[in-house]
Amino acid sequence: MSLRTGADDVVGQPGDAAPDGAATSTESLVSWTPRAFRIANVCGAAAAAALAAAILIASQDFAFRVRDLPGPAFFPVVIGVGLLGLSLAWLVLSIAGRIPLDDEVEAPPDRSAAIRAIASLGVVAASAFALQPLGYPLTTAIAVTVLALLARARLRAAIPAGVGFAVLSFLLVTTALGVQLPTGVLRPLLVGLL
Amino acid sequence: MDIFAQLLAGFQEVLSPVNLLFALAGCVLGMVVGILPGFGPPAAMALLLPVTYVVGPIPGIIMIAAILYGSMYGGTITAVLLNVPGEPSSVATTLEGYTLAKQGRGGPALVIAAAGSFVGATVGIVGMVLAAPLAIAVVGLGARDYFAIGVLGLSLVVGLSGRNVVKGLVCALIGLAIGLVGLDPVLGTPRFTGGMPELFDGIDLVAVVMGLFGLSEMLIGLEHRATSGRLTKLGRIAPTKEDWRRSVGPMARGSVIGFFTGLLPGSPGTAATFFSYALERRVSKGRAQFGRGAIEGVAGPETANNSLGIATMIPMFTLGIPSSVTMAIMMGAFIVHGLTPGPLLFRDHPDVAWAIIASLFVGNVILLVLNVPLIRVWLYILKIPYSILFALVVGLMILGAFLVTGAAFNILVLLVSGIFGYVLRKLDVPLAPIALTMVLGSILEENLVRALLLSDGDVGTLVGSPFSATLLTGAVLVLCSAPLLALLRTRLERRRARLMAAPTRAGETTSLPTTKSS
Repeated sequence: MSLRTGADDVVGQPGDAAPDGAATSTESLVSWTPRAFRIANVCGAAAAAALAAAILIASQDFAFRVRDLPGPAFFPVVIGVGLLGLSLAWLVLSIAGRIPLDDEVEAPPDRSAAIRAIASLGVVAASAFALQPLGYPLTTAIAVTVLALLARARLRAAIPAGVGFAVLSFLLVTTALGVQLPTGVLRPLLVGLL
Repeated sequence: MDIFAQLLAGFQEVLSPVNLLFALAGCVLGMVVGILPGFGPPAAMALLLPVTYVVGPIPGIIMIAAILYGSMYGGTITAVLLNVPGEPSSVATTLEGYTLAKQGRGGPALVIAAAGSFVGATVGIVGMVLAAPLAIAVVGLGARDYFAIGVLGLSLVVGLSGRNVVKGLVCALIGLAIGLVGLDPVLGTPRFTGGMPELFDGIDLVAVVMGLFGLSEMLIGLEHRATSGRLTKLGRIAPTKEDWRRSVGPMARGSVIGFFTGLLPGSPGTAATFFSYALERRVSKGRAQFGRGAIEGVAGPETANNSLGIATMIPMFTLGIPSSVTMAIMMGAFIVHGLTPGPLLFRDHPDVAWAIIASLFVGNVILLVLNVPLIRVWLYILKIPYSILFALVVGLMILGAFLVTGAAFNILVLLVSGIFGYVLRKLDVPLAPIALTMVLGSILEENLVRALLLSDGDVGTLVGSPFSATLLTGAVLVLCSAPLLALLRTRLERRRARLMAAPTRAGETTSLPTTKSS
């Protein structure tokens, strides 16, 4: 979805510091072609139909009725059948070109942005696995710094943001809210401090 | 105890220092997150929901309610000063608000918007207090009645699907399918868990909502060019006597419009705000100034928006039906705190129910008091580069997902939900039905089985009580009204387009801003 501001906008690059008196907002770069949007919708509908089929197949492991009452498979089957029917309706509408495409539709990803988005998701996934061994402060400091760099922040802004966020959020959660967070490799140091 | 005595007890509970502190924190956090690019009320609530986990049910719910109206007002700030509305229902505010801001009257526009929000919310709260006996009256409902309530809630998907009813229904079923994961409510059989113990309790609603609404929005922000919208000058903050005088009528009319629109199942907020704007443009004394910065065009829509925001809580509090995505998230907050919104809340936890209603009023007073001195502080947040905001918000989401269950597995749920939400947004698929049906799925299944168990498997029992028969008929009517709603929506869009195209000054037309959050 494109985001417009006023007529007197100043356009910068991602990660640019906003000039004096300016505020950050975002604006889309590309837009769908009708054919690409139709293909994307066909793929989406096919994926939904595949999900419905998977639900129906997996439901066969459970009883449909138990003593004349709906069993564990009853609801999944109802949902699976409904999802399959509606997915097929979506598929037909997509193939027939009856899915509206206008300015309100979110633009498709461009290549460079998609790479940065995938890398950012990789950082989130890595932080899930690193949280226990490395501990919250270290994992978060690295993750936030890398995320900022992926979003094209300058290193001199990204490092203070990452370290500052990790330290402040760790202190706030553990001391003010009284919730324990993993300390990992920094345990000897943090136990002494807290 | 009559309702006013209970309300008074609710005020006593809320006015304790701890609860006041959480209401204040919720307002401030809501406003801070509400003004971030890409964050409307659903994403703001999803992001901050884990914060409420670590406190008790009453302060937790008070805080999440405060986050809701704080984030709504945060969206108004960007609508007026940047021409970037936080949510679709704030689009109407930009029409006159941004024009006023460009004339150096952003301060008065924001103060009138805050006053209108307060008036609208107060009217909504009074309506809510008066509607509370309805919840108490339906306390004796049986399983078939709750099943019917669930079906009616499900039918609201039509209203939440926008122009894509088929896609909306697909999403509703996907939400129900996500709700299937975990132990089934009849025999306790693990379903679709893949043998993973982390999934036996089901997929966590908070992580899913944060991923769907928050992470996906941030990822989309990454691929957009950062645009620095020039902040308009605030100028003198206090409105003139003339501003106040001209705003009284629009606020009164906006309250009524917003309240009754909010009671309609699945009604979009834009309908109320644009109706209010169109009405003021036609009937207010300052109608000649519309398009050139009419304060009535800010007062009316803002009042309608907040009156509507509170009115949408009435179906949830009285019947347990979340009629919007923000209410679905709020219902999720109730559930994680071990509370069930609806008639049982008033029977089993009247102290909580009335404290929350009282907190809505207290929170709005806090918001009214806070907004003027803090306006300049919020402006600094708007100047932080998107790259830093992106990293901090995603960091906050990782922390939030972990805090919910204390397990890193939830971060993976956040990740998968974020990818899913991103793909759905690209395909123009509405996300709101997923949140709604994830909440409703277990209500439907559990009560259907219980109803059939009590009637020895007789399906006819589902329409056996006047209440369930009425609600099921209502659900069928709502579903059948889909084509009519589509027609109304098209007409509303045309009317919006006409309002935008209306000449303001010689040769000038008003540009239509799109929201910063879908």
